[in-house]
Amino acid sequence: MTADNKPREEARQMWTIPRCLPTTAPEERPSELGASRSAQEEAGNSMDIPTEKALLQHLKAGEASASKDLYTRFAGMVCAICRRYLSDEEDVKDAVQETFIRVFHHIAGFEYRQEGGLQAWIARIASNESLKMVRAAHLLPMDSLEDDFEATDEEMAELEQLSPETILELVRQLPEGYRTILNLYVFEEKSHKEIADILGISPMTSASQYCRAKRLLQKMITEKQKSLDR
Amino acid sequence: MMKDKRFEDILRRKLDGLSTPPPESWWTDIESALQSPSPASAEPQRVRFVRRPLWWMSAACVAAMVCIAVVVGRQEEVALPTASVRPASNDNMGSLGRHLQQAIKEAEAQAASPTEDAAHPSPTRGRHYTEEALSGSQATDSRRLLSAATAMAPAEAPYPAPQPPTETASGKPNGAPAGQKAKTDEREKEDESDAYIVHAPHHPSAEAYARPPQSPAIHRGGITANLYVSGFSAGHNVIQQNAFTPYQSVIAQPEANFTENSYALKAPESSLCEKHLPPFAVGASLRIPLTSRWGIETGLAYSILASTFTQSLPQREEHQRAHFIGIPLNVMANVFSRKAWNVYLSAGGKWEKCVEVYTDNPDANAPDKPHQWSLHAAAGGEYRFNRHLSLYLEPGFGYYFEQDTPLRTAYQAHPANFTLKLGLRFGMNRR
Repeated sequence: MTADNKPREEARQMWTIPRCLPTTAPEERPSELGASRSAQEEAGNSMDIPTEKALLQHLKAGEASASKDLYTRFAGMVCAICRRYLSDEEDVKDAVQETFIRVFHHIAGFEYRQEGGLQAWIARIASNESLKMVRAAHLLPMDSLEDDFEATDEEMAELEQLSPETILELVRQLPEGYRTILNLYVFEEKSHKEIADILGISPMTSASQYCRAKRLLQKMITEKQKSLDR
Repeated sequence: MMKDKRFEDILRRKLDGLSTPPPESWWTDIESALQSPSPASAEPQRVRFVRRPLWWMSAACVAAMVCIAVVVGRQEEVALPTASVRPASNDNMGSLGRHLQQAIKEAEAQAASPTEDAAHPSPTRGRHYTEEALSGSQATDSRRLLSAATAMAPAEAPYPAPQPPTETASGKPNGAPAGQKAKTDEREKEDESDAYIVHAPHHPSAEAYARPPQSPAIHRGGITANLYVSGFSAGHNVIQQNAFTPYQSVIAQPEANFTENSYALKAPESSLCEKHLPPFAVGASLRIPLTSRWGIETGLAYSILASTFTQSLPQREEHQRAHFIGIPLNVMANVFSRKAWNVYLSAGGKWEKCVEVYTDNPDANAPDKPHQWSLHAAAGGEYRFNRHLSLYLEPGFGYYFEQDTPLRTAYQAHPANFTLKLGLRFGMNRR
């Protein structure tokens, strides 16, 4: 059951197109990609198979415009993922570039199974490339101990009020190590043991660093909310 | 009590689906990178792992080198007697002349003090020659010198001693003046007796002539060149991991497990298994003696590290082969030497650089090519076939320092290990 008590399968069918798509007008999209987003939503077609499938077919056929179409479709998502991990814009640019280079080089071997699979694959590449750059910068947390942090209801309300772009900027302001663990724990939904294996630290360090990250992020959210209220 | 995950849920929901379009210029750069044939954009090549019989080839090469060296060495040894029967020239007279002069002095000393040694010549006295015995026509000089050389040769000479000349010498053992009638019978008696058989341990000159001095290998070896193969007992390392690691390639998961509020992929339970084959190395080095006991050795080494990574979910297997080039630097100390055997100790370090990594996984990230530092200590045994060739075996220990690299090899999986080096040593200016 989901948060609003809807069956999981029904909730899955509610959103027809991944919400990470760039918000371009339907008429700006190439006609060969199929029906517009709004038309598909009105039709209630939960499985937008032709869209990614058609894109893959055009890519594998070697059409010149297919690469640009894929970039246009997923660049925003990739950029958001990389910006979650990396604070320096040049690093973000490098990570985005490396991500799409790898995608285009290995797209021929990608096996389409269902709608959303291509998006998830690209998202995973983007996460890996970002994490690789983080590790290359040697900015990993040191071992430490920290008590668990639990946000209050008021703090969570403040988090709800902020826009996603503002929250993203706050996340980018976190120290590198904190931000990395936060991304892996919250967005990649890794366990602390898995994070410890990835980063080469102990699970205790991962847990304590995450608590510090959460506490610091919450503090930044509170200050930001106060500044907005003025 | 379950932890409150509302903070994480809100954060995830807020940033899930967020799209921040990049500047338009980024696509231009990506397009340029895709079109340019740079190594970073080059598609990793699929490597077909053809099993090559490296071990057999190496063993065959070593055996061939040993056979060639032994044959060449034996040819040199066979050539020695030929040189000894050449007519004495001015160049050859140097050492032989000194031996004869020493024999003459001993004979004169014995003649000056006739003792029972005169009747029973001591084996250490050598041949009793006089100047008159050695003088004579030039035609007989070579034969007389040959006789003297023959008499000085040890009984255990590896080659048959030349036959003494049929023409007898005109000198008596006790320094009788030349010109007297040759006493063939007495001479034959002398030839048959062991008085003129010089025992090597008591005649340093003959010993020096017959066999090189027993000295430490480093000292007598001079600069030596070594060819070797080595490996270490990393064994069939199997390391189980239960998480994805950064160096791991992107695992394409076409069937995503979507949560209700996130497109983020929830990683399923998976295990990763690493298998590292024992690294194999070949190398060439130079050993330079510093003192009679100490020396240094350096050269080049080439190592191959093969690994296999197996993932359970999704089931994938990736083969990796890393190639390293290294420069070792060791200090050698000779501890024991006897006849053809030599035992020594070696300690030092090695710097290696990964020059290439091959993998059969098309989704692999651009491989990292790290440096690798290591320390080594070994005890070696060496057997000399001849002056120029010896075979050595060096069991020892090595420790490979941890490097900050995502590349997983046997060096990282098994940093401390037992090493074994087998090689041939070629003496360049051994005496």
